[in-house]
This record gives sequence, structure tokens and C-alpha cells, in this order.
Amino acid sequence: MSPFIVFALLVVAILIAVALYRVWAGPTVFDRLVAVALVSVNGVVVIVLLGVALERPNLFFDIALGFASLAFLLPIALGRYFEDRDDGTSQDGHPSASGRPQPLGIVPHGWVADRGRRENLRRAERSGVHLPAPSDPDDPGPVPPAEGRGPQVPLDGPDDGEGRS
Amino acid sequence: MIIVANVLIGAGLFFLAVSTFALLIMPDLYTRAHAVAKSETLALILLFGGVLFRPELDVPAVGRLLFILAVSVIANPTAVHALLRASHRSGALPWTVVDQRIADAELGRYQP
Repeated sequence: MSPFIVFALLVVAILIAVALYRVWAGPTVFDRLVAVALVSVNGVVVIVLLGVALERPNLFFDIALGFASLAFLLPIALGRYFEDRDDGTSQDGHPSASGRPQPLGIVPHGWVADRGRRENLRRAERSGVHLPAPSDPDDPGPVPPAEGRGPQVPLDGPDDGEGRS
Repeated sequence: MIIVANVLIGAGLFFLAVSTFALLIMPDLYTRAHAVAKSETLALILLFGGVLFRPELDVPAVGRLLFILAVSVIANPTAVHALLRASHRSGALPWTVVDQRIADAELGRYQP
């Protein structure tokens, strides 16, 4: 058992612990799944290095091959499962995790995907950032917060239908 | 020979650390997965290439390790791509300059 392999195993263990922070912190399901994919790659590395360190490479490399195959299937299957289109269907046309009403109810709505622009507008109003419309030469300035309603102006200016062919 | 193996394993560990810390410091899912998928694939190539030079391995072990390497190098970017496609179809938008401006303003670093 060479000391360098033991050192490498310790480093990979620390990296797994660091990557588990992203699994814990989220904020969406896909963030967690990307972190889980990285953790399982680190797990394959751990098994291969253990096979070298314990001098049983054939045994451990078979285990690593099975682990790598399963770690490939997990993000693909769960990514398709959590996919959540605007009409509440998944890729296969089945009701998806958010799909109003939530058919399975195991994932809160905001966990699947934070729908970027609306959230950005809320944060912009809260923090007082002036967001200029790119196609507007005389910009009227910061939009005052509407009374009791959501944001009125989309982030990239009013959609007048031009500019798209 | 074992020097070559240890240098390659060390380089692989470095790129594994790069991908893990990119997971912590990047601002959103797309940038994070961009950094993670590329550097973890490179780290796997370097690490397994280093393990190939270790004296503990015999010929069947080398064959198995090359097979694991082929499977992983094809599978990892595919898996991350599937995750990102699902996230994009779910309506999550990429990080932009406006998001950076908002984040700076929340930290008190933005001057209008």
C-alpha cells in the first residue's frame, strides 16, 4: 500500500465532503443532481484507487465498472423525471412534478426550477437596481413597485413583436 | 514508471479539485455544470491513465480499467447534458449580466 495512493484517497474523500455541500444547498433539484453526479464520479475514483492500494485490482475494477454504469443511469432517469415544462407535462407528455396539481407531491414547486425572470424582477425591485430596457433610448428610470400586484414590465422591454422573424 | 503514475494521479486530483470548487463558487446551474463536466472528464482521463502505470496492475486489470475509462468518458458528459436539457426545458434561465448586477447590488457593490 503505497503512501501516495493513501494520500490520494484522503484528498478524494475531502472532495466528496465538499461536493456534498452543493447537494445540501441546492437550490433546485438539478443543482443537487449535478453535484450527485460529481460525487458518484468521485466514488468510482475511490473504488479504483482502493483496488490499487489493496492490490486486488481485478476485483475492485469490476465493482467500479458496475458503479460507473449505475451512476450514468441515475442523473438521466431523474432528469427526465423532474423535467417540468410550462404546460405541466414532462418530456413524455405525462404530468410532471410541479404540474399544478402536483401529482406526486414529493418536490416543492420552486425546487424544480426557479423561473428566472420573474424572480429576477422581484429581486430587482427589492434591491432598487435600475434595469434599462435595451431598445429604449430615453429610459424613464426605475419602475415604481406596483401596488399589490406583480411586476408590470418584462426585463427586456415591452414585447412588441418586432425583432423576431 | 511509478513517478509517471504519481504525477498523472496528482494532476487528476488537481482537476477533480477544480471541478469540486467550481461547484461551490459558480453562480448558477449552467456555469457550474459547464465547469464540472469538463474538468471531471479530464480528471478521470488523467487519474486512470496514471493508475495504468502502477505496478500493481496486470493485463486483465489494464483491460478493465480502459473499459471503465471508455464508459465514464462517454457517460459523464451525457448525463450532465441530460440534466441541463431537463433544467432548460423546465424554464430555468442562464445567468446574465443583469443577474450579476442584481447580485452586486444586494451585496452593496453596485453603483448605478
